Amino acid sequence: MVKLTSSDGESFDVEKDVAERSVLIKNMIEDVGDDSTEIPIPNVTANVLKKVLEWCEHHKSDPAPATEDDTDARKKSTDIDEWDQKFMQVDQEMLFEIILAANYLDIKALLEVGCKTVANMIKGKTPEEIRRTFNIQNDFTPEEEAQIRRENEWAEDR
Amino acid sequence: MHLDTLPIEISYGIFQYVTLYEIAAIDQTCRALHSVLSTNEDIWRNGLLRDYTREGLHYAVQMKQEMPDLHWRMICASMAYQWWFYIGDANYVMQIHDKKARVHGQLPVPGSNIGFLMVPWAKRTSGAVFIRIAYVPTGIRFRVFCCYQLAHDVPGIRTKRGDGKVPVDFAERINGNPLVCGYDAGHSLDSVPNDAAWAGETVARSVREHFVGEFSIPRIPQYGGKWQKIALLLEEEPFDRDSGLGLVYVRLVRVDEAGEFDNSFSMLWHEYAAYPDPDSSIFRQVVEDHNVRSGFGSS
Repeated sequence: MVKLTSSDGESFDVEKDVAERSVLIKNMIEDVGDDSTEIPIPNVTANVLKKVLEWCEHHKSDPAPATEDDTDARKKSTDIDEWDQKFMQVDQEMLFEIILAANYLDIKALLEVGCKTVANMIKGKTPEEIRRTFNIQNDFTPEEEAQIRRENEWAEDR
Repeated sequence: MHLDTLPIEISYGIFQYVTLYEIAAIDQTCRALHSVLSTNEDIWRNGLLRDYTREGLHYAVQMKQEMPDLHWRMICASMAYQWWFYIGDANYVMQIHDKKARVHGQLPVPGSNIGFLMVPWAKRTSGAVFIRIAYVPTGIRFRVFCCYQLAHDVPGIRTKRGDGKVPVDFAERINGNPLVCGYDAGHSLDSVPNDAAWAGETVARSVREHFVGEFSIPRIPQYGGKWQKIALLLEEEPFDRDSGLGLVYVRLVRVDEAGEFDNSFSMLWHEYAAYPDPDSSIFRQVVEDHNVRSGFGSS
């Protein structure tokens, strides 16, 4: 077991193979050389870390991701397995926090699931629909908005 | 944390799963995201990598090599219009392909608007565009006339793709010319001021007379937006019935008062799109006949 401490001071005892889904934590364990040392996770709060560890627990036996070949890189699927879809059914604040945590902790597969989830929320939407979905304030002046719309006119009616 | 405040590496991660068209939609949401997409043009390049075949990418990369200052976003636009292909300063080749046209459920018929050539006039108040057209391999006739980028400023005149309507006043403005009926065959329609219609008629006659040749389109300052559109209208079916191919070579030369060519990029549009085959004898003939510096490799 390894002990992880969140930014707000909460400790989590976690199986080593679960914690090592994070490349960052894995490297830290190797650097410290002592499994019993408490590992601080200063950029992740307890509620987010708990969620991330839940994902790591579920995926602890997943095989290492295959190296992407050229084809994979060109055509990215946004398919997400059923468990991950349910896992990501959180409010947007938590969703983005999970993505940030996955990026910080270097958990590539979780980062991918998070990015795909956001991408799926964008798909097929107009600018106004995207604003509504993500609560984005339209801060363009009317002139700027018209100009940017013209610049992107090629993408209309697709 | 919101979509518009994410670190750039996360934005890259998200945008790799959406299409170019969705990236274009994101670009229009707010200043922060517009800034991200303006300063990180790799996002557009990556979009091209995902959305286009290797063959298509060849042209995009070629375009970037020839005009390194051109933002990948503009190349995306060009590829979306994908009917014209930049092949060197002021030289464009368009190819109309039977098969591609059929994808849209119909062949372009006489009278169809087959494309826009967008001329960046910037703030100039005079000058002219010179266009040279060659028809290969058989006589594909075009009518050419001017219209102007006023669509978003004139309510009620714009029609949407596929609604089958041609604004009455638009038709009247070009004197009931039956070719106009096909003008809105498949896309939105911009307003055409009276003067522009007049200019279009004049040029159209010029094209018919010279058939293959060079002609000028004057700038009309009072309608001077940033862009001037030149529409090409089909006069005959654009295909060689044997080969199924049509290829039109267009040379655009913009001349201002000083006779200086401005190398600004022109956006071009059409839905009857196909990539020219650089190995085809037709393409080579066009390049050779018009002494074009071909941007396409032979392999």
